[in-house]
Amino acid sequence: MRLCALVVGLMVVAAPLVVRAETMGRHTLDRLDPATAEAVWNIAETARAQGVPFEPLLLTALEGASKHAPGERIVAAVRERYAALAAAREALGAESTPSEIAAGAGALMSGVPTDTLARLRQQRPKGSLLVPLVVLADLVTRRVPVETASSAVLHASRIGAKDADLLRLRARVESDIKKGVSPAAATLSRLQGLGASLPGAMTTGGSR
Amino acid sequence: MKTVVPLLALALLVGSAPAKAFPLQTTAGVAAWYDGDVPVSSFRLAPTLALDGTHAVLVGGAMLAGSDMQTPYRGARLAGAWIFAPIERLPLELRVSTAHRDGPHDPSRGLLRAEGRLNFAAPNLGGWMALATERAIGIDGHVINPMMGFGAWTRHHGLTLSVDLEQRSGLLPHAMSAVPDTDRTSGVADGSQSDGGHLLRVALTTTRASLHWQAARLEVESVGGITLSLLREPRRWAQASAAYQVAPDIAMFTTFGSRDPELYLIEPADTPRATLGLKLSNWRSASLDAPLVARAGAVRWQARRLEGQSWTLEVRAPGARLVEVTGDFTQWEPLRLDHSGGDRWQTTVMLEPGVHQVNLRVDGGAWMPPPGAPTTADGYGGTTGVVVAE
Repeated sequence: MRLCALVVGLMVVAAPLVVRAETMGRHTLDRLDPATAEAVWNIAETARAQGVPFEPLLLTALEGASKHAPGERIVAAVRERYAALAAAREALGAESTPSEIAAGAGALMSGVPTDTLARLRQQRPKGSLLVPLVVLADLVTRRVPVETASSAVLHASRIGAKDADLLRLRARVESDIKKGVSPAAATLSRLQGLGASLPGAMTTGGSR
Repeated sequence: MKTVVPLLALALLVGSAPAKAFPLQTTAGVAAWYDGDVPVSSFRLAPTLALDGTHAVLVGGAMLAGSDMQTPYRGARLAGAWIFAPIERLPLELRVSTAHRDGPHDPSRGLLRAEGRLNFAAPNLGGWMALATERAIGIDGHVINPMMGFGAWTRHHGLTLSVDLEQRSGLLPHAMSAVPDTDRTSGVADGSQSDGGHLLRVALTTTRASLHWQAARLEVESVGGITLSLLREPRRWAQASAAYQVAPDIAMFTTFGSRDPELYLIEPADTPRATLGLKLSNWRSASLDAPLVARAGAVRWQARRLEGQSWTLEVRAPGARLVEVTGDFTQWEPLRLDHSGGDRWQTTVMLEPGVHQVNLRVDGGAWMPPPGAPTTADGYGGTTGVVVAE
């Protein structure tokens, strides 16, 4: 009886994982030509064996298929994503969530150095890094110089900016850039404004 | 035969576009207007059938009109446009239109126009140049072909400004009995022929500027211009119109002023008039005036959690006919949003906690990150939008 309960309990616990694996299994690559699907799946299997999130790799391949990218381009993009995921995992730590690693990979592919990811993790050893990583990737994608973007997000985190503050900073920088302000100037200006609005920012961030 | 071939060609053009891109909609309008200094009670019933897709539009309609000042008349029109882009940002647009009018005391007449437009289309601005040819049906005489046109437009936050110069035929209510031959040396196609001694077919050169704004349930347009013809003085005209959507499928509209004389063929409108009417359709307009490439763009975007992993994606896209979203949560398959009235589109999706990539497409255009959303590199040389679901 206990054995039955144990089996049922295990099935309940494992069901979401099984469904997930079923959802993002080999068959999701059926939209690709067989050779490309095989190459992508091999990379995904390697990633899975190393503890690197593999679902983003399959999704990268599907994205390429939807953009009608040729097979070799898709495989190259998947390899690039795999390298970014592995580097992000190493920089952020193996305990990071798959979402954080995926967001970190996005930041790395946008041009953010791995060192910035590691420093962000040092500043927030426990808290989620999703939003800082998303903001970082966005700033760099909007042509904010990598050093400026990295410094801005690190500084904002250091002075206690919350996720909502970071998202507001990003939105204001985007708005300034659309008005013709240079990306670097917009970022520095908005960072100053953020610093002034945060209690304790001068004592925490201003002394550094 | 002369009319069947163009109609078949038109049907072929429209039929070659994806079937899912053609929501069937109907528009019917009843209007009354005040004409010049004399109050005129009048009516106009104009049922219109529109096949409105991402790359093609087919508009067909009839018109019954009458007043105590004019003899009743009936008209019909069929117009279609098809756009395709063999070169990115340089879409080609083919337009074919035909119009016909007659009545108990009205001679039957019609006009067929075929036009090719080469567009330059960036997301928020564009331009076009066109060559067109026209053939009259039931009207003697001719105009010099091809006719030309140029135009430019820009769009920002639901506001579209466009200017153009265009040559096309019109029927002017002119009392001339003898019309001089075409002035072929003027550079302006302007041949003409008496039609029953009251209406003249002439080539008109119109310079036009229009401002169109749509937000939520309100749509406002102001258009004005000057029309040149060798047969009479330049004529300035302007019309303002507004439509308000009172229900998902019902809009009230009002207009004041007069339009350029190209409309004389089926609807004389020489003097300014005011109209008030009702439109039974959620389709914003049965007009082909605006370039297909200039019709719509997403201006606002919001991802809102309902409960659990269920999220609503909302897009504001004035003038849009089709809004789609794609991303990792759809396995990069396009997902069509539902039109929830006015410029609002929405759909509900399941988003697991984490970061999701998302792109939008309006009216079959390019996939773009949603306006105002964070972006990231996509691995294929482009960018995608990002949604953080926590």
